[in-house]
Amino acid sequence: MTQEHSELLREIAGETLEQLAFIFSYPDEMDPEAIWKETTTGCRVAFNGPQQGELLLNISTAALPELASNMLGLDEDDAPPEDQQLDALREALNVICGNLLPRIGGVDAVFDIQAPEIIDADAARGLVKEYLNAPQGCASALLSLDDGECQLYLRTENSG
Amino acid sequence: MPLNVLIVDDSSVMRAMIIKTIRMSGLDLGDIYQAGNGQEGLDAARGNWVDLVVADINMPVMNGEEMIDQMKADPELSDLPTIVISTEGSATRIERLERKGVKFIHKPFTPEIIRDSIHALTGIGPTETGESDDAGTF
Repeated sequence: MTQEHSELLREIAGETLEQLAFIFSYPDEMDPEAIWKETTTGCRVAFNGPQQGELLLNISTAALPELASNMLGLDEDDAPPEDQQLDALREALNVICGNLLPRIGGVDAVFDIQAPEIIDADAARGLVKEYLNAPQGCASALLSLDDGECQLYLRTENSG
Repeated sequence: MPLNVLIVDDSSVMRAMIIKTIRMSGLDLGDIYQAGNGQEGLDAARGNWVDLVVADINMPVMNGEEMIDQMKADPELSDLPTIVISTEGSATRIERLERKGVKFIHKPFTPEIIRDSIHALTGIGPTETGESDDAGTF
């Protein structure tokens, strides 16, 4: 199941980044730990429903200006302010999560998605460790972008 | 006649994307109002002449579905054409919204979907001088 969810996560994250922000991604062959050598920004979103859990996105901070400018349709050299870059990241994760959950739980499943929350790199790194050590494991997708990397981790458990 | 549009979404980036996409759809736009949640959306709809509401569902303070319910209960707003643009993927919830008379658009969206949905709801189509609508997905 984890492998299946990992493939779905990679597919949906890649499609969302491309359709929402014209950012093309490729499966990342690098050591997952390598991302922590650069400056990163994390974002998490919790959900409840037939399954509950959390989706965590950790991305190179260098990729945020392009993400936000492309979503806003600005020129490449016209980087939006930081608050809009973070808003763009929250929205991107929201769309990824919203498209992922019906693929996991089925189209009739009703999920409540909480508001995405920005977290710093230390908090993101701690959560990644926690997810990876969880007894049920976690799905993950590691993507390479033009301006860095993007990692996603999905932790789920059945409700009730 | 220019279309006055109210955009209700807690993400300023998404509001900007929706506005840009509607402009790209070639519609004759009048005033555009923005609100960050359902309560602000209701206040803006009651305080301005609005021809179309475009709203998200998951928002703080008051979500989009509650805002739509309150609009339906208000004789001044009950017939206001409303489009929901959301990441919502549950067929159950989408059908419930559609039964309330709203048009549902899933994120990410294209200018064509926005244009066609507005046309279906209001009967208003692109002007001849409108911008190109072939601009990818948002």
